[in-house]
Amino acid sequence: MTTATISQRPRTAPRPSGLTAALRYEWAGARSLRTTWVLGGLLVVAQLGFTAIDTRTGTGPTAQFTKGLSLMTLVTALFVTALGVMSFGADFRHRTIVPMALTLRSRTAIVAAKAAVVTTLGGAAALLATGVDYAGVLVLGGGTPDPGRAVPAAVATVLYVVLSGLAGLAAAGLLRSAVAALAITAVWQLGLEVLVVQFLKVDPASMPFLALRQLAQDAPGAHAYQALPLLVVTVLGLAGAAWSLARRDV
Amino acid sequence: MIQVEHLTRRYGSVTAVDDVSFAVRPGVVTGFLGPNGAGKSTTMRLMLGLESGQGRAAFGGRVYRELDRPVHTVGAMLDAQAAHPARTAFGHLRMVAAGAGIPVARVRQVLAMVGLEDVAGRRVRGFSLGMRQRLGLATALLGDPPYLILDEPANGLDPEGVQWLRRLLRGLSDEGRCVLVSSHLLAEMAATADDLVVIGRGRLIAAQPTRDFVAAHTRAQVVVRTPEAEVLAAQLHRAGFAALREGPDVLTVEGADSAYVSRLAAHCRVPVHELHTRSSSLEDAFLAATADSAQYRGVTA
Repeated sequence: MTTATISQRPRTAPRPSGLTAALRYEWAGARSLRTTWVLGGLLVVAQLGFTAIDTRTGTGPTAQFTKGLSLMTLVTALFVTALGVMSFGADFRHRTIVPMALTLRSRTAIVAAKAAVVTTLGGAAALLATGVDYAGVLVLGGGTPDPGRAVPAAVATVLYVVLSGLAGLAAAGLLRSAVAALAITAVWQLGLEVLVVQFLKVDPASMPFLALRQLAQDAPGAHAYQALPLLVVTVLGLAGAAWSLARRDV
Repeated sequence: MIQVEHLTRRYGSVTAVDDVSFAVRPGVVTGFLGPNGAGKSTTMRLMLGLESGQGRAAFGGRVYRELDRPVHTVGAMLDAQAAHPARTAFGHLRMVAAGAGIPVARVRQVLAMVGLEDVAGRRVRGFSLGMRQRLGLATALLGDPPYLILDEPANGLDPEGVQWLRRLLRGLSDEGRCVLVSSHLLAEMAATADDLVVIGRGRLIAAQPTRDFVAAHTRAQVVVRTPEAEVLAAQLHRAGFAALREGPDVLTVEGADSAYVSRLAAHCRVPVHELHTRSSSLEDAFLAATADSAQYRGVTA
């Protein structure tokens, strides 16, 4: 291995603001990992597969469309949760949080940038999958879903996927452990709320994930406000992660 | 100038860094030494605001969190493992450069500087420890900063790499930068460091030029080879000097210089076959200075 001259001063570019710098850092980091693209691609392929093999047994195009969306509230949301968890978890696991904290002084900007990137990637994957599902209904189902019911369900599904990713991000930021964060978020999402509703007779509309899932599945009587519990939990979790990152040693 | 003032860090009842103050001059390499667990890494992390504690570390008068362009001001390598194994060397540096507003051309420059240009596209998981150290150094040099803080940069480097690192550090300091380097390799520090900061059990033991540190913590010894070692030893004892037998015909004398020993031997008509002054090493000085501060010691079987 050889050595070049030491001083080759970099051209000085205008200093980006805290959030802009953090966004550039996080985006460059996310796109330089193959996992990001493999995961995103897999989600769309899974939706494509689901659409292709589904027998389209719904009573009509709208029911077929919402049935297709149900894959996203289970599988896609879980994968995007993992993406959110790994966004923070990998930084703590591989100690890359140190160069990140040294480069970006604002810890709040770090959390905000991670949230923006998870939202972008999770949202893009969910939107693509929704498009695949819609196209599947048009081509294979032989009808057009009712926009009055299909659009709210699609919006709720994309929101569910994005908020799941952000919940994973918040959990990893608070716990600083990818394994613990993924386990807690997945168990909460897939089992804990159902158990609480069954055994404690709690209204499902007050359970963050279940409430939004009802909205995404076009359940009878579901209202837009059912998105609020998960939104509030996610925002509080991210605020907690930002506070923790600013206060605790890295 | 890096000015460290009264840095203190406590973990519960344990004081890891206890009121440590020192300065790192520009244009010289300052070695940061201490036994295992002495608090070197914690001190460096405190300096960079990665840990909360008391005291202040100023880089040209400003603490790290106040720096407008931190990567352009302070280059730090605290942990060579701090890179995602699935990311390429180029990807890792480009990420840091993107956050610091540094053009991609500079990434290629620093990769060439540390000798990693041929493996820039390889994932970090396939890197040896020495290659990871070079990547860490490249990250620290990315912003061409006037202040450098490097924690054990020689770990895992092969002999050629250690020599390269020595030249690199010398070159960086010759450009007028402040270079603070911690290391366990005392021989390497002796060859590289102009100044030393030595801590033990979290407390400052010394902060002075390397030569002064060695002189202050060791005593020069005169080695005499003579067939009449017993006679000369008796004469030296009588004159108030300690003379130890190192071999059947070899004495080591502490406190006296070689001219005096030579005169005494001539006066006593003792033939001298060899006479020289043995200068002490940094290792001797370090061990003497930190004798009461080493927390972890092994036992030789």
